[in-house]
Amino acid sequence: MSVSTLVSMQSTIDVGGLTKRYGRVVAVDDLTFTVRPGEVTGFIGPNGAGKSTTMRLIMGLDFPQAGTATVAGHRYRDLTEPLTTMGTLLDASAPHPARTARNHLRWLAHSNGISSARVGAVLAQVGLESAADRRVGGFSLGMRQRLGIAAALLGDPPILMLDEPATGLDPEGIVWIRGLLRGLAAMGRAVLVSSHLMSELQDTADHLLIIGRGRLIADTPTAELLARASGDRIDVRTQMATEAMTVLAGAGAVVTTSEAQVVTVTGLPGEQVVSLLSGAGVRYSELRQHRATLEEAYMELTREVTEFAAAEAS
Amino acid sequence: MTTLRLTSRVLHAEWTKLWTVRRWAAGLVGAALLSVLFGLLAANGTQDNTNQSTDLIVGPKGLVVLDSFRFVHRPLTGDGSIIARVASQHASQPGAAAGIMVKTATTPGSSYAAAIITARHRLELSANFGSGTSAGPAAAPTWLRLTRAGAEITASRSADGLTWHVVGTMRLVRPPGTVQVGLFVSSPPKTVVTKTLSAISGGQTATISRATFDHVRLIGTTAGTWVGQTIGRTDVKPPVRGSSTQADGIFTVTGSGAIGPGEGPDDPIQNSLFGLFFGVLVLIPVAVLFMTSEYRRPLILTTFGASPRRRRVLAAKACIIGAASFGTGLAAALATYLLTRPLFQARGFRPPAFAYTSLGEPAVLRALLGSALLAGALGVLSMAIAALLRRGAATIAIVAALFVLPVFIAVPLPLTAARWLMALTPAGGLAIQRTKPPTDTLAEPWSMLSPWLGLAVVCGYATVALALAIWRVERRDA
Repeated sequence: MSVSTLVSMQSTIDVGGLTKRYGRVVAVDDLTFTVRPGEVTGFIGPNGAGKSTTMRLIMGLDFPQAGTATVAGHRYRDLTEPLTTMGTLLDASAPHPARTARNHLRWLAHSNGISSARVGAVLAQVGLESAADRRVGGFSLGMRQRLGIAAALLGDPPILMLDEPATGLDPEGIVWIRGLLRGLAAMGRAVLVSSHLMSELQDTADHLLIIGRGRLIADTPTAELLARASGDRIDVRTQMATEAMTVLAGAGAVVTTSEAQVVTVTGLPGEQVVSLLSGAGVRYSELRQHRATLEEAYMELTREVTEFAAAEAS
Repeated sequence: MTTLRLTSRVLHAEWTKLWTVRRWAAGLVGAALLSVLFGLLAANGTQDNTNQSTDLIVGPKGLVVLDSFRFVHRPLTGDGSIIARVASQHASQPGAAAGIMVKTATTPGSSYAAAIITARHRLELSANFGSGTSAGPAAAPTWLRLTRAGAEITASRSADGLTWHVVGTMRLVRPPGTVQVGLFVSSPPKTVVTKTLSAISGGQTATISRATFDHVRLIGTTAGTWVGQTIGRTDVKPPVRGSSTQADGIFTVTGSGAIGPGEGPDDPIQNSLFGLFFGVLVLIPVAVLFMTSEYRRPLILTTFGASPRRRRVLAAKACIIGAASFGTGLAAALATYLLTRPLFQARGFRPPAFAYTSLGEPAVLRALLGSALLAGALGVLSMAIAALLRRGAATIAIVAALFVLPVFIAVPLPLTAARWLMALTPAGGLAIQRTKPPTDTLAEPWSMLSPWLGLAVVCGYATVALALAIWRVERRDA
């Protein structure tokens, strides 16, 4: 087998220069990325950033003005049994309300020559066995999400693409889906999951694609992004926050407070913070390297982009 | 992977989609029931008194016939032949005929066999009031010969009276030893249809045509001389009687009237199958929803995600809804036919004025299968327009307007306009439900179209709409 065949058979989603405009609105703007197997890739951006549009373009549902998208080396439209290559969840409200969950999966299975045994298997896998013969119209949003995930898993595909799968899930469901996604990636599958909530993917995604206004802002391992966003900041937990801020600001640090009794210090090494606080008699209960959340990292990234855009405009 | 295999998968998926939404299945059953119900109502509301009239001319098969013409005849006892050359023909109208005939008696309705030159320049063989079979082009002058052997009559033609070609055989019904053979001319009345806003009436005016015959020869045992006689009578005003003269072996015959089936244009089978018109009003929404439900929720994303070849998906959808509509139409038509047949017979639609129409008769089969095809085509048309518009209510309105409105618009229109309207809209498809020949004399405007033309119009609409839908859906964002 030649090298090129091996590469083309890889379980990846490849997007190159993808651009989609609806009228004068640019929904996706020259997007390029690769989703790798064995990882959960988070696709993050606010509502309207172009995540869903990108997914529709990958599936050949909408036609781009420019660029290409391939799934396992092929245009999605050319796949004869697409469900066995890439499972997708685009919209949990898609199934017809008058059909039962089992019948919804049945026609999907028929369309790709998937055995009926898989229908029962995926219903069990997502915990919908007891509701299998109920009409989808009576399902909660969480149950519909589970059905959508079952549909994505139906063809046992090496690639999964899920649009906001955690929406509507209860806390237990969120824990479940995190485990499911991690497990699927651990088996070597490529998993692309979108979310507009940064925190949702913080512990799940190995890699992040951050998108804003149709443009790719970051394509980075999650750990790296968080480390970068954490920077040289130090969190001081103290009941004397005002005093601490006065002292540290006086020494030239940038001081902010994000939650009560926590002061975040930028621009001073840890040793100096300790000595300054001790010298001023400010008591503190904890002093640690700041761990940025994905929200902060995102805010920082988008601030840069916004400033860049503003500078470009002026 | 073969295309066939992939196609059968999509078909299987679409079929599953259809039957798993219970209210659609219920809609199809409801459409069939509604069709049958209206069929029964139509059957229950009709009454025909033709059989009570005392002067019906009944043919050898026990059905009313038309049997009026000018006959110049001599008796023939036992086997023999009649030979004549149709020397010239002056037809006043396309249905006119001149030829030679063997007839069991001069009583109207008696069995006969004839070789005919028609005004449309065809040689036609006609026996016992059937619709006649064409035996190729022919025009006067042409030699004709009928040879009797028992009940069997063999027809031959010749260009010169020397070389003869057999063109067919016919059979007389229970012929006596002596039959009448001779020359005849017929000329059917012209039908004039008068149409007003509220009523349609067909009046008839008599026509008369002329032909000359020579080289008239009778071979066999005969008696007497040539006798000219007007057979039957027509109620047509003004009364026209034929004439016949003979000079120097040349017979000049003028005649009026028609020979053939005598059943009126009323079509009880069509009247009952018309119940489908109401069933279709339930069928159309089901076919539309089968498509628009994909768009009302973004189910189409799942559908095209599972089967990215959109052309194949739409074709499969058309096949499934077409087959389901066909099945609904067929079940409704069969049930209507079987349930209403005894009702119609009890209400005067029975021989001799109306034939017993058995299921095996081509015209009945055509009407029943045609009703099913009409339902199938309307299902496909509805689904295709739904795919184009993606709007349920608008699609239902458009299909209903295409199918229903022309019927009501055509009723008060002049004949030509009404015929065009029927030939250009799916409403004309109702013509396939008729078991009788097209006629201008009925209030139902689709009766003017030939059955297959009517069906072709609907199928044309469905095909074009489906092609447009595929073209559009393949190019548009899902």
